[in-house]
Formats: sequence, C-alpha cells, structure tokens
Amino acid sequence: MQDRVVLGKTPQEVDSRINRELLTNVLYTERRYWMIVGFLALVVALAGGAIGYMINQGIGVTGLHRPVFWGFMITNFVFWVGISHAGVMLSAILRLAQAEWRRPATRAAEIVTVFALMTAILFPILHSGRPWRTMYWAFPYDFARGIFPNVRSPLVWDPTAITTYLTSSIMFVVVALIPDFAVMRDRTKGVAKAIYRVLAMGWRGTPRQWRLQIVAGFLLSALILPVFVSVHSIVSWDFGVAQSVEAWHSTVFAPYFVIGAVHSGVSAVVTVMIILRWLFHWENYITKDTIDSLGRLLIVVATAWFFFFVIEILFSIYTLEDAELALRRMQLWESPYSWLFLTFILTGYFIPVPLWLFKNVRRSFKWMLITTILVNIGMWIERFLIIVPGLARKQGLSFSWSTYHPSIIEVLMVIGSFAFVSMNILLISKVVPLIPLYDVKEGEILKDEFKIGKATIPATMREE
Amino acid sequence: MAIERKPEPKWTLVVDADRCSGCQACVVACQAENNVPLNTDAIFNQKRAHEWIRIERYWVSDDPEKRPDEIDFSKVKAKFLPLMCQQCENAPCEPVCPVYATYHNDQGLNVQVYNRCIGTRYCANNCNYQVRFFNFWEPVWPETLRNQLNPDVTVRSRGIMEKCTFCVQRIRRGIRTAIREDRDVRDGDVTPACVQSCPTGALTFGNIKDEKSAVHKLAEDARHYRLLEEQGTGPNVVYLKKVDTHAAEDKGHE
Amino acid sequence: MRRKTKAMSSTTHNTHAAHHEAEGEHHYQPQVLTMPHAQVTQDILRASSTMGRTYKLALALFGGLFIAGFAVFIVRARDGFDTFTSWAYLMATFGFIFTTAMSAPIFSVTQRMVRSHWRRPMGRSAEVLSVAGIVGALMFIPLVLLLPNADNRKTIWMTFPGAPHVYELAALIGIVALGLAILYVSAIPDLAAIRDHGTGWRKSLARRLASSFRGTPREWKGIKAMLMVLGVLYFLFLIGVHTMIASDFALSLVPGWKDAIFPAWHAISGLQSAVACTILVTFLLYKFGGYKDYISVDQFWGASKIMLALSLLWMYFWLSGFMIFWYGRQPVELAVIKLFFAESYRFPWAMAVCLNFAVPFLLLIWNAARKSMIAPTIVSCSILLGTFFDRIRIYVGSFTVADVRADALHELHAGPLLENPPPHLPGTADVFMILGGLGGALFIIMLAIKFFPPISIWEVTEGMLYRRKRRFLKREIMVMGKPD
Repeated sequence: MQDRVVLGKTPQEVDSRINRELLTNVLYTERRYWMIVGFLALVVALAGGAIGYMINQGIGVTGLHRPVFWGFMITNFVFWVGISHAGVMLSAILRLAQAEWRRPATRAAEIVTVFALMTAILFPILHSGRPWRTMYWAFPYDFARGIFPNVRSPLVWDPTAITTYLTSSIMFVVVALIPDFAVMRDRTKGVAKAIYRVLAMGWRGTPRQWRLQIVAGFLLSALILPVFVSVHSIVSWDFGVAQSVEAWHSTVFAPYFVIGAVHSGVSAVVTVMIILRWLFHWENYITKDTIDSLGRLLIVVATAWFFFFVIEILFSIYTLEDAELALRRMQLWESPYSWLFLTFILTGYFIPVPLWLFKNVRRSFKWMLITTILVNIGMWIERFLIIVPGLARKQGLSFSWSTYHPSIIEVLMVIGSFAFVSMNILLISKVVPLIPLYDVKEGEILKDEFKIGKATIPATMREE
Repeated sequence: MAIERKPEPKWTLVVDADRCSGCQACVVACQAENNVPLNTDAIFNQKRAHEWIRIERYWVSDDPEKRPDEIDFSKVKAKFLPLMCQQCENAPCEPVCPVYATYHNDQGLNVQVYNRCIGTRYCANNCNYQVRFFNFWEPVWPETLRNQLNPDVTVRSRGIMEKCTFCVQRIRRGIRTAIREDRDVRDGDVTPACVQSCPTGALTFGNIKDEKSAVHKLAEDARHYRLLEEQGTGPNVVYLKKVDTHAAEDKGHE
Repeated sequence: MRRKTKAMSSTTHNTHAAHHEAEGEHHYQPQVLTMPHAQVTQDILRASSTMGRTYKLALALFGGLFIAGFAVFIVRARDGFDTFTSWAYLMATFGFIFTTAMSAPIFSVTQRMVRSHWRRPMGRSAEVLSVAGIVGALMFIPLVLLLPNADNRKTIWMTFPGAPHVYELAALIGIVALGLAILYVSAIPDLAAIRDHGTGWRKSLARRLASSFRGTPREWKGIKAMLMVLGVLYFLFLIGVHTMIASDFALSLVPGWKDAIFPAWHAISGLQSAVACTILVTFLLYKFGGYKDYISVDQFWGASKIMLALSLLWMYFWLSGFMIFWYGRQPVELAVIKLFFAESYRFPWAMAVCLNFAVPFLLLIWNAARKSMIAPTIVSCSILLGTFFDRIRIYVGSFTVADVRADALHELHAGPLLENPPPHLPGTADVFMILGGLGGALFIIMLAIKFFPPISIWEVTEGMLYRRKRRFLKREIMVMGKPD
C-alpha cells in the first residue's frame, strides 16, 4: 500500500542522491525545457501586445459595456488569487499538522502562490480606466492633492491584503530556502556562487541556525494563516458588500471563496507537480503516496466547497424574489450560461470527486493530472458565473438587463496570464530547487519501521 | 462682520410619470448641456451609449402571468420612467470608490470628481439604478460640433466615470447670481437642462427645504414614491405615480 | 534498528540535535503506554463500573432538576402553544444542548478519519455526549408544534408539502438515531469486554447488545468500515440539521433576515462547544473518574489546537456575515443588526464574544497554555457558557420578534422590523425549564458513562500497538506506525 522509495543504504548515500537528483534541473538544462519556455514567452509577448493595445486605445477594446462593467479581467484576478491559496494550505497548515507527505510539495506550492499573486495583482490595475494613475493612487500615501485612498472601499482593502500576503509568502519562501541556497552556493562557481552566497546569508548548518530556522518556519506558518483566510475573504467582499447586485449580496461569500480557492489552488499545485515530475525526472520524490494523500485532501476540500455552493444558491432563491429568480434562470437555463454552468458543475465537482474516491485513480499520475486540470477549468468558469450574470441581471429595473461577450483582447490576457505564471515557475526552477532539499532529507531521517506480529509497519519518528 | 450661514439647500427633482410622454427631449437637452459624448451607431451597438437621463420604457400587459402568445396586445400599455442619478443620501456608489472620486456634498448632491477618477467602475456596479456611465473610448467631437460644447462643463477623457449632476454648473450659477444680487436663491432660479426642455412639465426641480418651492409641495403629493425605497439608498428624486384611469379593472398601476 | 549516527551528514544531524535542544527542559514527548493490554481492560472496566457517593449525589441532583423542570413545563403547556415568547427559553436550552451534544460525535469521526494519535482516549466521551440528544428530542417535540406551516413564508422549504414539521421531526429522529448508532458500533468491542469480564446487570445487558463479537479480523474490518460510513453520513446529516434548525427556528421568524452564513456559523458554534464539552469531560474523567493513567496532556495539547481553530472560525464566520449587512446599509439588514448585536440583545452578544472568542483566543495562542490541562479546561467552561448566552440571544430574540411581527409570518416579502422589541428576560418558570433541560441532559450522560466505558478500550489498546519508544541522538522519542 505504501510505496516507500529506498534512496540508499547509508544516510550519506541518501543525502548525496537527494542532492544529485533534485539539483540536476537547477544546474543543467535539457533542450525540451528551452522549447517550452520559448513557447510560453511567445504567448506572454502576445498578451503583452494586447495589453499595450488596450492601454493605448481604451477599455473600449474589451467586451464590457453597461451594466456588465467587470468581465474576464476581474474573473481572472479572482481566479489567480484563488490559486495562490495553495501555498499556505500545503505548506503552513500541513506543517502545523505534521503531515509527512507534504514534504515534496511545499516549495512548489509556495512558488505557485508567489507567482499567482503577482499575476493576480496586475489585473485590477490593467482593467481600470486610467492604469497609469491606479498604480500609485491605491497606496496609503497622499500622492495627489493630499487625499488618502478611501479606506472604506473594498478596492483599497484588496491591494492591502494582497501585498501583505505577497510579502509574507515571499518571506516564507525565502526563509525556507536559506539552507537550500547554501547547498547551491557550495555547488556552483563564479557569479552564481556570489549570488547564492548573498542569498544564503552565511548559513553553515550549525545547531543554533537550525533551531532558528525551525522556529521561523513554525512562526511564519502560524502567522500566515490569518493572512491566508483574510485575503480571499477581502476579495470576496469586493462583491459581497455591493448591495445593488443581488447575486453578490450574500453573507456566505467569504468562506465560500476561501474554500473554493483552496480547492482550485491545491488542484493547481497537483497539476504543476505532476508536470514538473515529468519534466525534471522526480519519480523518487513525487510518488504515488504524495498524490494519493493530495487526492484525499482534495475530496474533503471539494465537498466542503460544494456544500457552500449549494447553500449560496439555496439561500439566494428561497425567498422567491423576482430579481434573484431571474438571475438564476439566466445562469442555469439561458444559453450560453447554461452550458457554462453545466461544464462548471461537472468539471468542478461531479467528475473529479467521484473519480477521486477510487484509490486507483488517486494513485495514477495521468488521471490526477486530468482531473485537476478539469477542476481549474470549472473553477475559472465558476468565478465568471458569479460575476457576469450577477451584473447582467442586477435589479428589478429590467430595462438595463444585458449580456456579455468577451473580446479577443480579454481572451489573450487570460491565456497570457497562464503562460506568465508557468513561464515564471519554469524560470525560477533554474535558480531554486523546487523540491526542498532539507525537508526531504529530514523526512528520510525520520523514517522508521517496526514489526507487529508478522507484519512490518512503516513508521515515522515524532518529535512531538 | 459675521456671516450668517443660511441652511444649505437640498436639491430635489420631482418626476411626474403621468405627464411623461417619452419624447426624449430631456435626453437631448442633457447631452447638449453637459458635453455628453455622442452616441453614434457604433457606440450604440456596443451598448455603451451615454444617456445621463434616459427614458426607460416598460410594456405593461393586463396579465403578466399570460404567455406571450396569449396576450391581448390591444390592452398592452407603454410606461415611461425617466431615470437619472438619484443623488442618493445613502449612496451605495460612494463608499466603494477607492480614490474618493465620488462623495456627497452638503447640498444633497452626489458629486463626481472627474480628475480623481481612475475608472475601476465599482461605483457603476454598485449603483442600484444603473445610472453611471463609463468612457470606454476617448470622446470624439467632429469639427462642426466643437463650438456647441458647453464651456461651463468639463470635457471628460476616456477611462473615467460620469453621470447626471443635476446640472451642477447651473446650480452654481444660480447661487452666484443670488449672492451677487444679495438675495436668497428663489424657487425657479435654478433649472437643469432636462427640466427646462420638458414639453409636458413632467420634471420639476428645486430646494425641498424651501417651504414655498414647487418640489416641496409635490414631494408630499398623494401619488409620491421613491424608486427602490426598501433598499435604503435615500434617493433625492421623487416620482409621482402614473394615474391609471382603468385602475379599478386592472388592479392599479406600476 | 539503530542507525549509524556518526555517518550522517552534518546538516541533518544538527537539525535534530538542535530541535531537541530547542525544547529544553520541557521536552515534550507524546505518552506511550507500557502496561499489558489486559490491564488496560481491567482498569477501564473497574473505573466505569464504580459509582462513588459524589457520583450518586450528582445523579440525584440532576434527576431532581429534570423532574422539576418537566413539571413546570407541563404547567405551562396547559396555556397552549400559541405564543412564541413563553417557549423562547426552552428553545434556547434545546438549541444549546442539542447542538453541543449532537455535534460531539463529529469530533470523534473526524479525528478518527485523520488518524490523530491523541484522540484515542477522547473519542468515546465525544460519542457518549450524543445520548443527551434523547432529552433534546423530548424538548423538541413541543417546540416543533410552535412553528407555523410553510405557506407563503420565506423558509428553505419553499413550497414543499408538509414542511417544516415533517422534515424537522425526521431530521431530529435521524440524527439521534445515527448518533446512538455510532456510539453503539464504536462500543461493540468494549461491550464484548464487559460481557466477558464484567459483572451483574452490565454483563447481561452487554451480552444482549454484543453477543457475537469475537474479535476476528473480518469483524474488526467490518466495524471500522461501518464507523467510516456512519461517520460520513453523520457529518452530512448534522450539517443538514444545523441548517434546518437555524433557519426554521431563527431565520424564518425574523422578517427580512436572509443570511446564508448563519446556518454554517451555527454549525461551527455547535462544533466549538462540542469540542469544549469533550475536553471538559476528559478533564473530569482525569480528575474524578479514576482514569489518571490513560489521560495525559497529549489530549489537551491536540484538542486545544482544534478549539482555538474553531474559535477563530467562529469569529470569522460571524464577521463575514456582519460585514455584508453592515456595509450594505439596507434597512432590513440594519434592523437585524440592531436586534441581535447593537441594541436589544447586546448583553448576551457581548458575553458570547468575550467567552467564545476573546478568552479562547487570548489563552490558547500560548504554547504553555495548550500544554497544560487546566487552561484548556477553563477555556472549555468559558466556551460552554458563552454558547449558552449565544443561544439565548438567537432564539429568544427570534421568538420575541415572531410574536411582535406575527403579521409578517405568512408574508413572503414582509417589510423590515422597524422597532426592536426590548430584551425578554427569563421568568422563574423559564429558569426552572432551563435547569430542567440541563439537568436532564447531564443525568442521561452520567448514566451512559457508567455503562459505555468513556475511554475506548479497543482504541487505546490499538494505539499502544502503533507506538514504540526508541533512542535517537541522546534522547528517547516516540515512533508512530503509519499502517496506510
């Protein structure tokens, strides 16, 4: 049942094998890597062109119009903030819960978080009418005419929360990277060695330094948890506090968005890990056990998300108000929203979760890749279905009801954001080992086994 | 010399839905007065037409439960509802602007500050009445129409929000004139463009705090109501219900 | 299985040396029990069959309170079930007892699912708390008679026939039955132990309940599979029950109160108070029950983290609802805020915030507090008291409004509650009914733990199999077996 990979007979063998296998992709590059990065860079350039065109011509190049003033760009923003929640879930929460299987996944999750947040925060700036002013007017400083930003606005809470989360995630990643930077420092030459020496901050591996490292890890894990919950709650309040959009004015939005974010984020990390495993030959580290445990976590998270989804719809329609019913009618029965809804509910929950109930599916890399990609397709559509139909059927004054068709510029921007995040993850894998070396080594040391009767039970040494 | 501050006026617009014939003269007048960007065919087809005041037209059938093929169209009536910024006391658009581009002044107006706006469009999303407009494109006026632009009103660029201001430039002019003539602002001094152009007299404007004003009397009329009152936005526009002469048969109006 | 410590690489060697030194003198290691398995059975059976004098006195007291409360209930029932206000405090007591007691098995179910090592002595106490649901069910039947039917009302049943009475009763019977089923299935091996090693009436009752259990591998697999299935069912059912009770007895009675997070918050609040109750029971068993060898600080260290998390969630779920209402400034929603938080019921609300959030948060963030037995117990008492005030706030508030706005009960889109009724204070009869309800619940729980051993013999023994001690780098540490 548990496939424990035996990496070596002595601890030294284990150590050097881990170093060799996990650092290969950092120090040496295959050709297929360059092809993939090149392709992604092309897509990013295309998206960049689209953005440039939009800034030059105006928001008119998009498909937005009254009453649907927010469309693909804001959907994408919420989606990427959602993806960013994986880092804390897998890194911080599982560290505090002492789940051993998290070890290979933590660094990739944190990296996905950082890049997802960086991408997410671009979109509110780009979608505004005058982005050249937005960039600095949302800061808590009276840049123009002595007026501070309006702290009552959720659009000011947003950048505050996201930059806090981004800063703490970067700190989290960098602090966890220090021992690995030291390993890199000791194995490179020249300019690279100089840079790593600075980043490693004098790490020697003494007991005192390890003690500080471990305490820092626990503290950062605990402190980042409230940030993690509050970020997506604040993003959900962009919509929730809008009393004029009936579909958005629901009290359940904050936990609904957070749990949806964990669902889509953890799925995204599974996708990223399976792809990286293929790309960098990490068969010994991202094992069937890892994806099995992640699949089980996903079942729980997905079901919790589904509960909130059902509650949200039930509680919006149970008072049988005309405006709400008209909105749900549009979401569920009117084409093309009905097709989008069907796709979303199937790919977001009803295809992946029943599949994940089977151990064979959870332990198959191909199936986990397929199901987690489906989940994220579904979750992107879910954000779209919350935002656009809500605006299209705002209130009972039906004269202004409308629909929405995205333009090619918006589609390019969305595709570009996916390429941007993927490209950044691949580029950073050249600087930083995406599986934490010391975490995996620590896991190997703590592995043990004992006999009960005739059976040999795998075990872990518990430090507390 | 001590300056005695008189209480600030509270500007109110009264719309008589019974008198409105749906002629849209107010829409044209507003466009002319306030440099509202031109609504060409292309812009209209993109559904981005700017109409600071618009006439909403609803078809009212005798029995809304009937299917379309069962309705007796000879009994269907058109209802016109002129809709402009309600200048809400409790405006939902105000707290959500990240840069304070919209605020409530002490004369009861919801003021839009064009050069502060960065165009996040949250205020437009949060407007219950959908009366806020965004400049998706840079407004273009052909050579021939440039002399028609009102010098008292800013010409907006792309990327910012705009909406009905109760012709704040005319309000300011009325107050300035009153001060220069050393008197109070009288009822009838200030007339927004839409009120001025309405042929049936459906629109009335004035200071509701002035007991002698027309709006003060009309605001307490038996037919008065405000739009979406139960949402608590506190609009400063009062509507007077359309009188339905067949009310007894058709279960009333609205 | 000794590793060659000298050959280890310096970095990783130092990690662990450092970590152990970091713990200093208070090096915490989970408890590893070393007595023979037969002694475990003996100890627990002995402790769970002796009834000391204090126990008998407490039992008599609770029984007496229950009878007094019941008598007062009969007297008041003669006035009929027309007004809500006279039954408000009974509803609050029912809400408190039922949500606490029926949420408790979730603690056992979820901890078993994630295989936390410290849950083993606590699981049964959590499951046993669900017997108080029987007393709750008795209280519930008159309360459900109060509810008007669902015609033209804003209930979650919309236009379903027979709502809400049929569904509420079905849900209630279902959840109590499921809770008792979980208790029974999880206790079968221990009942077999009583059948084999017990005496007297316990032996014969146990023989009837667990006649054929022999402990074959197939039977063990069956019990574990059954517990998993029942656990998942119970979870789904419990969420449904919380939603139903919160919406039928509170949400639908206040005009204009449309709140999607309220049932979820109600569930979290129930879970929080259930975990608190379990911790309190564990402490009492440790101090007075004679189970000193089997309960250690491990249980409190583990469960207090969950209690802290639930307290934070409590505040978070409340805030996410409050933010929407407060920011939107809609008159219907502002009226609800004034009723439950700002004006009429601000005293119980203030108590609830202090006791359910401030005290748990400020105490449990400290490692030292979580590593003691007394601090989590104090926090548990605070949470239980706070939840009690909170239920009073919700149900007495909703019930008084239902009377004041009886016109709005069958009005689908009623206008806002414009004037909040003043807070309704309990009368003497109310106090008797409260004490009677609490007494009844405590009475039945105390009876149950003298039959079902409150510490699960089989789970503790199983846990002993999966733990070993070994030496590692100058210290003795625990090794946890992870069979799957």
